[in-house]
Amino acid sequence: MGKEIPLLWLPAAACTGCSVSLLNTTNPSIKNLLVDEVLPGVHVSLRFHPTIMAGAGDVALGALEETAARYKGEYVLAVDGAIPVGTGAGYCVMGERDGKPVTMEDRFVELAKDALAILAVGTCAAFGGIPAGAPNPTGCVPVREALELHGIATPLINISGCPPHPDWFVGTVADILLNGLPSADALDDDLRPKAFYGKLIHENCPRRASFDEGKFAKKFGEDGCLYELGCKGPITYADCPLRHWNSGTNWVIGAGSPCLGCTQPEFMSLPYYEKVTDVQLPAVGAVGQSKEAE
Amino acid sequence: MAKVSIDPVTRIEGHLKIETEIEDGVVKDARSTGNLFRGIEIILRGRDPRDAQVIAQRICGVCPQSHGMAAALCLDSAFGLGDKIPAGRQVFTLRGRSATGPDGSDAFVVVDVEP
Repeated sequence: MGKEIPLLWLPAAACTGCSVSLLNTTNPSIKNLLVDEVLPGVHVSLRFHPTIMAGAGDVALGALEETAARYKGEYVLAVDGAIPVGTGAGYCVMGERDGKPVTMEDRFVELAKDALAILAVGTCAAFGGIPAGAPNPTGCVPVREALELHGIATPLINISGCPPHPDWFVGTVADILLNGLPSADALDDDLRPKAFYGKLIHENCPRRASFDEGKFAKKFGEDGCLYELGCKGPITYADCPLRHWNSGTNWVIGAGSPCLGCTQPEFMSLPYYEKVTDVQLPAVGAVGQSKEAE
Repeated sequence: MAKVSIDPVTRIEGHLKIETEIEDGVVKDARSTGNLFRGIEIILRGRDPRDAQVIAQRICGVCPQSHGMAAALCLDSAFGLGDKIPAGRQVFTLRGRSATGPDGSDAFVVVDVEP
């Protein structure tokens, strides 16, 4: 079988949407990804993923703990969901030890410190996302903050999105297998791979010409730029306009709906259907604003 | 009396624990526990109400459409539009994307209902 890369998937305060999105991967298919060799001689061995694994209860947790012990320093840890910490830690638990529930914070710390690398899958894991939305009732923090909190220095890659495109996850894993862990300049300030998050939605938007001409849709269903309807394209980094979703079928702006900014740390702090005004628009924004004032 | 606990229950969305008490091979009592709480209702308070159908979808990533649809219908009622939707025809476009797939393709879903 060649070389095996053990992968553990830890679901924290998540909705499983990131997993469902990953299961939609088409090139390679999820079967190719999990059963076949991703690269010649290299096989990804998904040892723990509660949503798709056959075992349950102690059998499932046994696989998790056994893998972590046997492949210390060699396994990749994927986390979806934010992590409730401190007094909130009890809001997310999995399994028991000595009759007491084990918090996800404890599980994360145990697994994170001995991992080869951590993939924070989805905006909840990368930036806090949905459960960390104000007033953050359960004390959720993103993976990056949880690592800092516990003084863990394991390399981290954020694959944000609500959910992330399957290619972003598969592509990041393939890149690690081909070239090893990405260098610092392959990631942006938010630790996202520049290959997928390097450009603004706005830069490649098919409605960009309308923005530059100051033609704005005032109602849903109208032609023109969706900026006034709350589109977060001008502040959102992702390659959706080029990659499209559902194996290239369409994407959100192609269906006439504004971008929600789901790959961004601001995802939960800005109202979805209000114009973006309190953030620094890139220089191109000035064109639209001057047109608008006329 | 034997106790059997399954935690986590797998192949579902979410974090679930099932505890059972078994006597002579028969389950006498059982209890289920949701092992994750996020407080989506608390997070929705004070937000633009139109955001509800986006955030409600994130209750469950396996069945987001049903939660988004329910939120959209609640908003129709809240805005006083619940009874103004054309008879026999429900157009879930009022909030732009009441039930959106990952590619946005069902952002403008028209459902024909037999009168």
